[in-house]
Amino acid sequence: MSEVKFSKEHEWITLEGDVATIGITKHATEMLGDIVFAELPEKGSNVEKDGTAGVVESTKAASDVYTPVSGEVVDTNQSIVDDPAKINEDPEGGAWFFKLKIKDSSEIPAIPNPFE
Amino acid sequence: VRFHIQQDSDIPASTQLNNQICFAIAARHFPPGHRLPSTRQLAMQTGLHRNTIIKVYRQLEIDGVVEAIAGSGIYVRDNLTKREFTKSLYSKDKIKKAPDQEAKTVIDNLISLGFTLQETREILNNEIEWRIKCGSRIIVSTPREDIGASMLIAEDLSGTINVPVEVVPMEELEKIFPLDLKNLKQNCSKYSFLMNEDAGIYDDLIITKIEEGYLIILNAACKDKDFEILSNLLGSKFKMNLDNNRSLIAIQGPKSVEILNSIINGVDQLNFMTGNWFDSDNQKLFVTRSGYTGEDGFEISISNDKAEKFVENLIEKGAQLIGLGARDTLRLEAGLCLYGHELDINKTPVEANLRWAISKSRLLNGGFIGSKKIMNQMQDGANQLRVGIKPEGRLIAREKTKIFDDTDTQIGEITSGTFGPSVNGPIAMGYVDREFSKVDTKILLEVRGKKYPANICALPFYKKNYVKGVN
Repeated sequence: MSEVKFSKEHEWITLEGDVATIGITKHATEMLGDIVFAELPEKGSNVEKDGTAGVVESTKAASDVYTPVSGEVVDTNQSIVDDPAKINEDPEGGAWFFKLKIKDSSEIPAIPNPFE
Repeated sequence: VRFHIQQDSDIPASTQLNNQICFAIAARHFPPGHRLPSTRQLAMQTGLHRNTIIKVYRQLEIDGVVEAIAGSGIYVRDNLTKREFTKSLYSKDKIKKAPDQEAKTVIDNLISLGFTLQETREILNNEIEWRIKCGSRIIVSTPREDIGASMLIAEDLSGTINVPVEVVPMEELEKIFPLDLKNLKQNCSKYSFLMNEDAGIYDDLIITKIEEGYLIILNAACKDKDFEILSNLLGSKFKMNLDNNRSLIAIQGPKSVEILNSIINGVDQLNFMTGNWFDSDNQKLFVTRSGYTGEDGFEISISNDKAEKFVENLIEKGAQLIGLGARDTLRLEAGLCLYGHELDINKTPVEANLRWAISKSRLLNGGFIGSKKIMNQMQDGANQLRVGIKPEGRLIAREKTKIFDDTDTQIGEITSGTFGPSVNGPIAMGYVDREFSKVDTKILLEVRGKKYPANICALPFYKKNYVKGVN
């Protein structure tokens, strides 16, 4: 698996072959507070780089989740929909959002860690 | 503190902002020494041009409310005198107008209505006399949450300030508020509203019986028009007394009585919505059993130099610090209305399901502003009603979410919506057409272009625990 890269919108992304796994950063979860709702893209749908690919809501606010790369949604993490608190507990591990079969790996952002 | 500028208001945006900053200072959201937001921040928050903000800040500086420290920012002055503050609260636009011209206009208007000059004189005389009589018995202060601070203002007024003292006849107050004021006991508070003739709610407020009269506490978010409306209705001159040396601390929740009583012995003897003076650590504190969280709780007015230590003491005894966002969640769980969300000028107390706040005797006999509409709606039913709404699943439907029936017809709108931690699920309040207002009615909520099922449910979402029968 490739090293973790980050988008400016506080998503993280890793790449394995041509399948990218995307989630939101720990920093994003800390800004949002207790997350109580998550919505994921539909499996089989196509998402465009920097387009909306989900929603997270805390008690404070609703926030769109963007995809840092284009691709076809091949898997989604239903467990965070059932228990959104998981996103706060393990945002950069078990609480990934969706997997994409990507078209162009050069789209992957080059930011190693935007908060260091 | 968030400032909200009403673009469609007759009051210029700069005056609105000026007033709101003054209120924030008076309500101690901006205590002395506090740095005001930068003009850039405020421009972003309010949508006003930076030049407007700069203009308002300059005016506040001229008025002596704030001082600019070069290279650092604008700070709330800590040596505000009551006079300077009072002065800055009044709109200067009015003074600029030629008074004789204004008088001519009023007289012309009365004559055009068919009154003779003699009658006009009598009408004006009566009006002026009545207003003088009313004097300054009504004291207006900022937020509903700050009963304690306002009690102090009243206390101060009775002793230290030379305010013309006349008693407002109770009957006159009752023309405005649908309350049974004669039977309101001293130091007791009631929730009420300012209404127009159509029973539209200008603002909600708390009115408290104090020794010398009544105390009216308006919202902090403060409609700029509140003063104007009240003075039009009552004709009294409002005075605001800024006590710079006090802070207000709210402690809320089921354990608040236990925690606070260990510091201020005797507060457990207060009933909800009452207050009194207590001695603690060699100082006099005014404590009210109040708040807006739907839980038992207290608000303590305390001198600034002791406030920090007092809070630390509370934390030591088990209290925790929270923000206003948390309070908003709590009040929604408790089914409490917030002005600008559940309440506005287009909603009546009947539609808002606030009939409980209108005294029974007044409901029967009327005679207050808006009473006709209220009595009609009581008889015939209102077209729309405020309801509790529970989305199915985990979906959160926030303010302005449209509500539909199963035929795709819009039947209402959400006014507040969030996730309720105590009920562990999404909750909302909103208005729906009357025929859909029954508990368990199925409705649809449109969120991000899709429709999701939800149910009308009873309020509150979380049972409150107010203490009423202590003594």
